[in-house]
Amino acid sequence: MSKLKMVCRAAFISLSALFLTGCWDQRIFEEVGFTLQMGIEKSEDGELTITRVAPVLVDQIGRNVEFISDNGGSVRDTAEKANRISPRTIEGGKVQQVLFSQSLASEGGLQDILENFERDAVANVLAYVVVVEGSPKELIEASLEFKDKPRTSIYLSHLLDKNVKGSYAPETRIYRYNIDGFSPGIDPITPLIKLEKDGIRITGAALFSGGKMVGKIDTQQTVLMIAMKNEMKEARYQFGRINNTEKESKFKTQLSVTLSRGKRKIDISIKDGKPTVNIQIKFAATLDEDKWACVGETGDQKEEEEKLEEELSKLLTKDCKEVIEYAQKVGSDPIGIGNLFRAKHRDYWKNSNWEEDYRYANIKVEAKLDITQYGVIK
Amino acid sequence: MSKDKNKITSKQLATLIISSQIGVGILTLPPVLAEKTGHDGWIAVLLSGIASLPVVVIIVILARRYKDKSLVKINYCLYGTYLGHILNFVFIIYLSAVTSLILRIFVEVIKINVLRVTPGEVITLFNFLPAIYMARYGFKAIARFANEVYLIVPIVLLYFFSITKEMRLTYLMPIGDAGIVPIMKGIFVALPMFLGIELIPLMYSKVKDNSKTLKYVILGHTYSTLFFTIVVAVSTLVYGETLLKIISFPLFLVFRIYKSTLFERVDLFFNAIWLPAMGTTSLVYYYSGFYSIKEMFQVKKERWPFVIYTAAIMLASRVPEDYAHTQKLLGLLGYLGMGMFVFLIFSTIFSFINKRGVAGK
Repeated sequence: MSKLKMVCRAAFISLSALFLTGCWDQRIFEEVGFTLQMGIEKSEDGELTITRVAPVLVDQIGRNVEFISDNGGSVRDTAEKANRISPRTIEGGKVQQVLFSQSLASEGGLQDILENFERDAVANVLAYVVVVEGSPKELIEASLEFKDKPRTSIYLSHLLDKNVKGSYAPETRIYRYNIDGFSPGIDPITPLIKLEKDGIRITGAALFSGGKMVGKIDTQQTVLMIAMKNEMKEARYQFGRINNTEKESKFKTQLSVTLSRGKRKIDISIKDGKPTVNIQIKFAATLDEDKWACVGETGDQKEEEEKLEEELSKLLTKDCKEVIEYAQKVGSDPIGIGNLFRAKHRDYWKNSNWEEDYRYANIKVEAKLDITQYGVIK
Repeated sequence: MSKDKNKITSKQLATLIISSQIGVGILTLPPVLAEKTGHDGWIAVLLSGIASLPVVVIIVILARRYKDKSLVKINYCLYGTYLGHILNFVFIIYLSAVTSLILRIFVEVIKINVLRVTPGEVITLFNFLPAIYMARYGFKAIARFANEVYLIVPIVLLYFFSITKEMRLTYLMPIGDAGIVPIMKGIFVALPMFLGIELIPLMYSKVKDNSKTLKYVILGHTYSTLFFTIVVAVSTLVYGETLLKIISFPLFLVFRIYKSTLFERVDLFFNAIWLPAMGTTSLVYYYSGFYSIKEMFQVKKERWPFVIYTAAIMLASRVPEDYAHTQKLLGLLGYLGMGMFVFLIFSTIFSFINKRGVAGK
């Protein structure tokens, strides 16, 4: 190769570094407003009110987040309107939570709103789908003023992560909501939150049916629902005091356990043309808090432990039953019992109306508790 | 350029065939199969791979009978000069069209997932540059690069393993629910996935250890079949048939659902490893097309024909209006590919009647 050719090639390669930088899709970090939190509710004129929170990382201004709220017909529509207010380009690739008002969730249509996140390759389908008891806009606005909490999206993110880990809230992200929403015989379930004076409280879970929110359960019931879904990792569970005697405290007390390794077994069958379901759950547990003198009159610790396990198992069974009966009453099937019938009893599934049959299905639940640790007190 | 730049081993031939198969079609196959066969798409792909195995054997038999001739020369021996010219011309058009359409799909996938604003023409040019560079060094260099498929597939499978808790086994049940006719239709829909085996007689004359070719090509075919089956099964296990029907690229979407504490967007890493796989698919067809031109026209000086051919491919890739149009054309080309299978089977039978040019005769 001649020297001239080599010089020309070297110059070409060097200049390429300057001209081939791909400016079309360039995104200057300081010029982009990454939405971290979105609140969606219905406006008075029937449109959607979408509230966005984007962190301000560079400018030295009073607040460290940008709060934009606009009415519009779609997520994209309000994003464009937000771009007319914000000095930065509002983008949704880092959304951590999508908060829906309970009234909007009850009307339905969440799946259509969330479609935008699936369609847009840049959007984050790992954002939590959350229902707010009240207005998401008010919740976000108020949370900006919390003096002892981190930045709103981080606060809620940590709050949800922690409670999902503790099974007080279901881990429902956008992709999971859409998958369950499209699956015959499964209904989505989402975390439910509420604004309080000094913070945001996880109040349990919202139950859906036919794309609409049809009911809600508290955090204790959510633990059991998640266990019946076979998704429980670990949870604290409180039982109302049993065997209260005259000698004991007069105020209402509780017994606490940490449930772990919830193993579910589910059998389904058709008996006399009626769907019959048998759910068995086995929990391993640690006794966290009880009363003194757990060992009763017999003095036999083993016997007393077995008695306690039996009593708690009965209570758990009763609580599980209440949860499932409530879910049947409101017609929501987050466990996916219908999906099991679809898979295993095809003829029945094809000739039945599951939404109706589910309400009257014979569902039995049996919970067993095995206390493996008692701490350092008998 | 060295004289033996196209000399390859049987393993390399198998690698080239696998690379020509894995890359583009599998991105859109699961929803198409879900439409035809519901949740039994994986059965259709598996059966399709098994059904196409005899075609692989027959094609290798044809190539082995003319072991020192490429398909271009085989056509002249079997069908004479005039008909041979026509058949070779159709073959070259087919290879060029496949290259152009795959290149266009490649560009569209990049536009949808990564570079939305960058003009398609610019993406075309810069994505095709490595292919142009590598094509100058023949099948041997391309086969070496194509080895990446042995890295990409295990990474994808490892990822699938990590998202098992997102899968519902009930989504595949009851097995065989679609019925025989829809599954048969699914087999036909999945057959174009195995296009790439028609390139065997084109490259076979350049294989050094051709006694092992059948073994490696069958192994390669099994590799592709299993991979396609797993991808279709996993797409169904994650999304269920109802949602799967309305998703364009389930493989890309599946990579968006992993929650990693280390990487926020695992799908971007998937893009980074999958895009070269798509590039290799177009590269194999691209060079096969040019190699056929060289064989047909006895090209001695490659430079200008290569430049003209490359420019034609890139311009042709811009002809389809959009992604949907490209998919439609690629679907139509699939029928031509099926025609190639039929033609090669016919040629094998015909070679026992017209034995002109058969090795050892």
